[in-house]
Amino acid sequence: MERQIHIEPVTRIEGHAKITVFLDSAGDVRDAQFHVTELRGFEQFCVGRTMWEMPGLTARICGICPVSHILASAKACDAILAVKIPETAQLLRRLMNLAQLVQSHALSFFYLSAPDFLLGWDSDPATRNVVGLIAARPDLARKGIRLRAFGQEAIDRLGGKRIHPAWAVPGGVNQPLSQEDRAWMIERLPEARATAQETLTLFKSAFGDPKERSVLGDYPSLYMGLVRHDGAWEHYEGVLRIVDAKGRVVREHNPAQYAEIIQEASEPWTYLKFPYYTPKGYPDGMYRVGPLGRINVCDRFDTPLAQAELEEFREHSGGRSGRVFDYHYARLIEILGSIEEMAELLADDRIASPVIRAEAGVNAREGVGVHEAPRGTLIHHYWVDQNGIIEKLNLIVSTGHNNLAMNRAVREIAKTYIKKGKVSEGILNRIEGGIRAYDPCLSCSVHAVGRMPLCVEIVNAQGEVQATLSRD
Amino acid sequence: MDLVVGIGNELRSDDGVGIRVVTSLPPRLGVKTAVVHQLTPDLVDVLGSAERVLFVDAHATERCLRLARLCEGGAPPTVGHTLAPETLLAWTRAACGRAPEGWVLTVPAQSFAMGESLSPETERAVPAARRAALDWLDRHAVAHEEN
Repeated sequence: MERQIHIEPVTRIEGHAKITVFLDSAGDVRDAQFHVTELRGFEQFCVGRTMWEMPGLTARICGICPVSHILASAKACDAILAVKIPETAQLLRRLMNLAQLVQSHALSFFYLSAPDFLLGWDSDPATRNVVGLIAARPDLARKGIRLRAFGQEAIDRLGGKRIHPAWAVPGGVNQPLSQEDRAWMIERLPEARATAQETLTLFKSAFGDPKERSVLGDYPSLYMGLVRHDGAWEHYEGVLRIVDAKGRVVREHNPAQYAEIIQEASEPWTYLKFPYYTPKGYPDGMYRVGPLGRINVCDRFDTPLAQAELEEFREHSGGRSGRVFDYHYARLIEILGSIEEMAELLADDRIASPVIRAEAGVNAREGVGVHEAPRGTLIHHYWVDQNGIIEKLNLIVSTGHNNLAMNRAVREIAKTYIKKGKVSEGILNRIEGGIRAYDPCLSCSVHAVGRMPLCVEIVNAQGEVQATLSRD
Repeated sequence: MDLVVGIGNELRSDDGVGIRVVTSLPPRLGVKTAVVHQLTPDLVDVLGSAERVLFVDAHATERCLRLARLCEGGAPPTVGHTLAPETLLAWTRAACGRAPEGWVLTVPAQSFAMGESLSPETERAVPAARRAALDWLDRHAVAHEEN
């Protein structure tokens, strides 16, 4: 008899989702679906607004990654203005994106995910959270909090506020970097770098064995992300590279022409679309983005500490990694690389110039902005009329790229940990952990700090609830 | 160091009164100010280095200004972003080994609708709330001088 298991809500992710696991008549996993139950509608209600409003409007998509949307939107508007923005504006936008990577990755690692694997997958849900982490590892927790605070403060100092800073604008940015703020960031960088290195050491000591890191699934896929024109790790510009599971370059493409290689499929059971690599078709064109995607597509880091970590990671992974758990490892390497690049940018006097914005009107009727948000490649594509009024827009957000992969992760974990219909809370935690490794940002909604309600329904093929497992 | 934290959303009318009060305070030696939409663990670090903290927030049901001493602890958070000042103080002690003396100043609020301006009643309460925050800072300064 076929059965279904529902897990709702999935905790400690940004937004709302539920999981359904379909069992066959023997009680083994037949399929699994990761449902996103929110509908935001930005692609509809931004139509009719001016392009000048778009960075501020689209920033409201999310309270965790507003910086990412502001930057992608500003880049799309740059293309509509058909301007080359001043060099200083370019450097400042890079600096802010790096600060965003640091704060968002620190939030994901220390607040949302580390409690699972540092306190134990099967530890009490009431304490398996950042509160429990503070109690069990106060020193580590405090360093993690300070690391995130550093990234947030850097964003605040650059943009005037840490959430929804209206700073990146079409043509550049609207405020230069002051000497005081530059000095503050330079002073705080060594501590941030030390925390990143210490956490990497701790992580590797606990999970040095790749088998340990297969707990959330290990499967091949394509990977996508920006790289520099020479193949180095990149987060703001460059070319869109797709590699296969062995790291072989499948394609390098102009990001502005993303639509030639990416299409989106829809399913009736979720509001989140399924982007796929067009030449492979749907769903075989599954690819992964985000920290692991970027680590897998790049040839190297251009900063020494992150490069050394990348070499060690690849040496111990047999090249590219398909392990879902390695998203956490990749996140830590990216924090380190981001801090190193921040140091380079801040040491460059060109970043202090007051020339920060190019002025122009509407010179193109279409513009695409692509960069790397913490969770992966973010695409804003706008079509405007001669007055800059938005006629149509397409947003492909980072989490969307990983939709097929997250569904695959749930299925892989469920197959490993659910046998003959036997389920336990520990198994459910791992399924949730598999999703959380991707750090999905389904909008700007809730994430759990403490004990969350969890409901599992087992439903047979006739739609009858055979059993319900729940916690309040 | 004393810390004064304004809590609220300036886009939800009176909910932003805590931020209005805190941003109106003149700079003082030994006093840090911060404004936040909500209390989060990110504040643990700055709280750990403060001697006293005053949280300034809107209150939907109280009818008068209220200054109250906080006790560390409180129920653990459950869902979402809700985090009580008392809980944050307890987390600070856990992470930093110490916590500041905590106080809260609540300002009566009438409207939490969309909007950047305060209701007339809450607007009238701002000068008194500002004086209360300054008095709180002065009392601490007097206590230091007496010591």
